[in-house]
Amino acid sequence: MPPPSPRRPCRGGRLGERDGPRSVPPVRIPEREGRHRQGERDGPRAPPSTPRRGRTLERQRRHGRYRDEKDGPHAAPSTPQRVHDFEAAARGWSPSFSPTSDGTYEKEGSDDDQIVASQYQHDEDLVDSDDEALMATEKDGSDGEEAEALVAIGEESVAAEAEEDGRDGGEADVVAIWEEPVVVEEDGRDGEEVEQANENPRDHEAVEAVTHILDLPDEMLSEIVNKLSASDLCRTVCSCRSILRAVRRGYEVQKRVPFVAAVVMNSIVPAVVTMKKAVDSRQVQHSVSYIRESILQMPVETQIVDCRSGHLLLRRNQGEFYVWNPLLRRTDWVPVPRCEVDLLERFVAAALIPGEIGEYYVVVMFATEPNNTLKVFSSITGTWRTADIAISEHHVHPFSVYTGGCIYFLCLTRGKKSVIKIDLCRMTGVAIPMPPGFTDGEMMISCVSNKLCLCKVERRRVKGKRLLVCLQLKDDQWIESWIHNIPEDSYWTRLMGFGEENGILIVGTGTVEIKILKIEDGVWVDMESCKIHPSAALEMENPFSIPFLLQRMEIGDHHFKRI
Amino acid sequence: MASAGSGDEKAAAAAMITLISSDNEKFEVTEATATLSQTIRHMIEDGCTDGGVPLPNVTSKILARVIEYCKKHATAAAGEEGSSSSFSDAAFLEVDRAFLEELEEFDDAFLEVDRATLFDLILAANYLDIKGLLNLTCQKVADSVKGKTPEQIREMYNIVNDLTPEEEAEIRRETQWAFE
Repeated sequence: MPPPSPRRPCRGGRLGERDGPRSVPPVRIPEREGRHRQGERDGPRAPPSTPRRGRTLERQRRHGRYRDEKDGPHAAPSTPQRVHDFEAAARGWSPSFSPTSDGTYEKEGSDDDQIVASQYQHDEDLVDSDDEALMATEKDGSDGEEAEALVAIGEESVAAEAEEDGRDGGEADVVAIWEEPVVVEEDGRDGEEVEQANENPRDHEAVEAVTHILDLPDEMLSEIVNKLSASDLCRTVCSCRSILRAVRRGYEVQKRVPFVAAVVMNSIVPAVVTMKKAVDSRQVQHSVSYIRESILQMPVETQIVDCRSGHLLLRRNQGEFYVWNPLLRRTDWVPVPRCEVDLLERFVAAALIPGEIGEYYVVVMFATEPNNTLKVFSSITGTWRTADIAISEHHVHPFSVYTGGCIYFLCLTRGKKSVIKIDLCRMTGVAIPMPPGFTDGEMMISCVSNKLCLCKVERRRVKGKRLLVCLQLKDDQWIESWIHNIPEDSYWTRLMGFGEENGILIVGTGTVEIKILKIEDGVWVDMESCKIHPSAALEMENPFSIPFLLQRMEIGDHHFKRI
Repeated sequence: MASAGSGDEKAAAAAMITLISSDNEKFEVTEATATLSQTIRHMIEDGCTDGGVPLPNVTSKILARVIEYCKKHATAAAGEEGSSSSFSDAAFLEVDRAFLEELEEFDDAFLEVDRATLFDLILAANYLDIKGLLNLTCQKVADSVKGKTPEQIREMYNIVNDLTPEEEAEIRRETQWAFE
């Protein structure tokens, strides 16, 4: 038997309370009822069965085999355990099904039977003996257990079932109608083997199994949703939770990049801005307010220190770090094991680096004398590594760039501006000197196609021109990639943030407006400005690419704790 | 169509593989046809196809359709021209445009099945590891929800909405652009 899974008997309005690995739409309840009846075949009451029931039985049988087969010698290479669990749960194989027992099932059930019986007496004759044979082939005595479990269904749910069943009967008719032409077609085309099948009408009936779309394994569902456009996907996901789950698990989907996003930090309320190309500002506002609500629940003393891959790195006190995914809409955070911080060490900067799925690194730089200390936490080993690095700067821009296994920080110490490059594997740090002339003005590092970029806005207009300059780092040499002349009507220009993956620069062009510049070629992305509070912005690697999709750093529920 | 149709196969050299469906029906196909399925290809490579390849997850009805697909596409892969049911001796090396069109037409016609069959085909294609068929069938399902509202999708696939109104509202709010 597959492992038991928590199931609740309630249906209808209280679906939200479910906590099983995957919830089952009530539509399939009659199957279980059918199974139950089959299980009691030896009893005094000979319950009828409908063609649908015959089919669903066959379906269950096939799925059972499918599961077995998957673990068997011909197993497909990728057979994740979760599929196993999920199938077991979804099809009600679990013996732990449902508490409240009051015995009303029998009564309700037989009423239901009478209705169905009158409708399907004919079909029963066709299918019954076959079903018996099917039941005989069922392994591991799960029938008995299940029958027991099913007797224990509460009155309320049985009533619901009866209703469902009524609907179901109608649906079965519909199914029959729209299947019919196909059957005819098959007959014509398939020639002899269909004839063979027709010799045994029951077999034929069994082959006509109705498969519900949610009977498909998650992998297949993701295979399907991967083919959808982003908007179709959003709508499809809205239809039910199983698909939502399948989408969340489909990592492939996140390769799409319909959104640009930034976490806007100010001293009071951080917010996330999401933007889509040609988006209207109303919608952006909406996203802002939504995330703001989530972040507001953060304890006051908590600080966002980095943001990448849709997750935020939070810091409390000196050495307490937490990873948080705002998309989960939870006020819980994943605590990173405490980092031992010396009394003399002072926090400088931190970065959250995603590794493989579910893995991450937290890189923190502490200022000490004479050199800074680098501490790296790896979720794989679960420990902190410490190293001295040949960097002594204390004043570092909070935004880091992660590319090619190295983290880059922009050091802002007056008169000693530089870019700090930290090699994550070797645990070393190097200061890359600024290009000549980069002594003042607002600067920001970013990256385009894995190359580090340095952008600078000149502080004042020279001969009526105020330039936005972008350089790229090639073989440790800064090479100018473009110069943009800021229009005169823009009285205020601030570099607020960048998109690491999208290669965009977020530029504030007024007190409450943001514009987006494509770093690659230095052109403004055609997009309505959105209004937010001007402040610093942290890049978020398309956290909203697919809004309900967990990002690469999918962290299990059990990791979460309140702080 | 598909079963035991070895009589008109002139290609004596082509090894025949017997596939056995879940309901114990036997289908004889050429190796070229069978190896469109990676699962069967691996079995052939492992040399464990004597006495037939049991496919307990695939019913005869679905297997017949899968074989129909494989035959058509195996001929396409071999660059041959001709009818789908029999291999011609003369191998045309150039892949004719008309043939590709015919193949597309075949695919379209092939997908004219009811949903249950379509899902079974997806499961079978996944089990047998036939990339083309899996793509084709999944695309068909994906196409069917194109431009539909969640309500229409639910109705179409008989899905019960098990999201709470709050959850649904939240998703809709975040993805408002998709609903406009």
